[in-house]
Amino acid sequence: MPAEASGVQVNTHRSDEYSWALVTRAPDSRLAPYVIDYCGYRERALTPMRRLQPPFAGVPMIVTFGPSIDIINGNLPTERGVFRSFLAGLHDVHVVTEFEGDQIGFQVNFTLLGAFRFLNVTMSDIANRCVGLGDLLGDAAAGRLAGALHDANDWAARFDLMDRFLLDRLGRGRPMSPDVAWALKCLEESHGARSIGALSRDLACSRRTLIQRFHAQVGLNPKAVAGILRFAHAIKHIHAADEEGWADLAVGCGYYDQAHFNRDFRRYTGRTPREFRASLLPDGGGVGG
Amino acid sequence: MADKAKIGVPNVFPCLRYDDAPKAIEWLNETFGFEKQFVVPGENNTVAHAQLRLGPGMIMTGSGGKPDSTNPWATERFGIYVVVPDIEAHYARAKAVGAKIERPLAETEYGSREYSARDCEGNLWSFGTYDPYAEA
Repeated sequence: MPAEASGVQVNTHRSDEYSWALVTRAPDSRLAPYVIDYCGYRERALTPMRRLQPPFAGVPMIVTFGPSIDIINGNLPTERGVFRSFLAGLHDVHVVTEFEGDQIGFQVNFTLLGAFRFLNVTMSDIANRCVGLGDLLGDAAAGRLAGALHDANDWAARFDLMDRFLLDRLGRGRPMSPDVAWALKCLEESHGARSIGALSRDLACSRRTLIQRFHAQVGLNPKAVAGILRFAHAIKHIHAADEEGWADLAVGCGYYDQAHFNRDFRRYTGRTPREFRASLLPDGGGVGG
Repeated sequence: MADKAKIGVPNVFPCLRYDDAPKAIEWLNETFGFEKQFVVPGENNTVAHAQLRLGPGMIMTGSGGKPDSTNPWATERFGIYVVVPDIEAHYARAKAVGAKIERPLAETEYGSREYSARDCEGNLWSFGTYDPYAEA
């Protein structure tokens, strides 16, 4: 099936040591509030392949139907987990993924609204943690999903399958409460600029109540999420910043100054903005670890 | 939900619509002793959705809107919202018995699966999955 007909897009990369094919397709339009994007991938690495996963305002679910992948906490490099299929709660620290050999899998990036609805758990319980999919969905359901994705004929069929799976499960999910959903939307739309004081004033509730309810349903408190949103907004524009442009970029994205920007950047990635930009991999391959 | 029913967490909520919701909410608070749990702002000084509490109970309120043939709640001043665990079965039974369905079962913009129907004398009801008392 040609890419145009199925809407499937493929990004490939081939070098001596690494090759990958990253396959994307837009999720069903009804999933728009809940799913940022889909990415199927098939990779081969002859030497260990490390990638840095910076924090973002979402929750990735990874279903592999091949060998496992190692997840390393960026701030605690000794903390290493080996996963086949898992969900990474909202993080305000980066993680490093590592594998060698072959990887094949499917990644769904949930919005924070979607993650709550999909999981129906207290989100702060899984913040800054990776949790096996079986522990969240039950071993049988997680196994069925991985099996069905593995057995599908091609990527278009896998995207169809994921659309159906998510529409069904989200349809049975519990919505986020309107006050928290509204606060989250304001933070997202302002790239983290709206203050907690302003949000709680607008909602006519106490700061404490807002923080508590937000923390439980989103995973981290509003201030932490605002920091991640500001950072995510800044790295979207990182390509455009030339040497003189860093300060403008920082201020334009809501940082007090370049020092503030650099501090946050190090906190979230362990690198300077320039180092981070230099480590971007070609062909949509993410960030080198 | 079965456990909740035992300990008596409310699942039936009166819903009131006002022309001037911000003013009405203040009035309800001052006069009848309600407390704002939260008020979600709408555009142009309207209220998209508010939950007010008094003792263990709660009412939902907000601003009325322009008449909308797909949503009777835009103009209805009073109705009842009920949280039900198995919304599909509940909807199927209401249809089978012949209740006048005003809004078929669908996802609302705030993420609840809901339907609205009239009772045998024309009062408006909504049944849905959004539970204001859910943990978190």
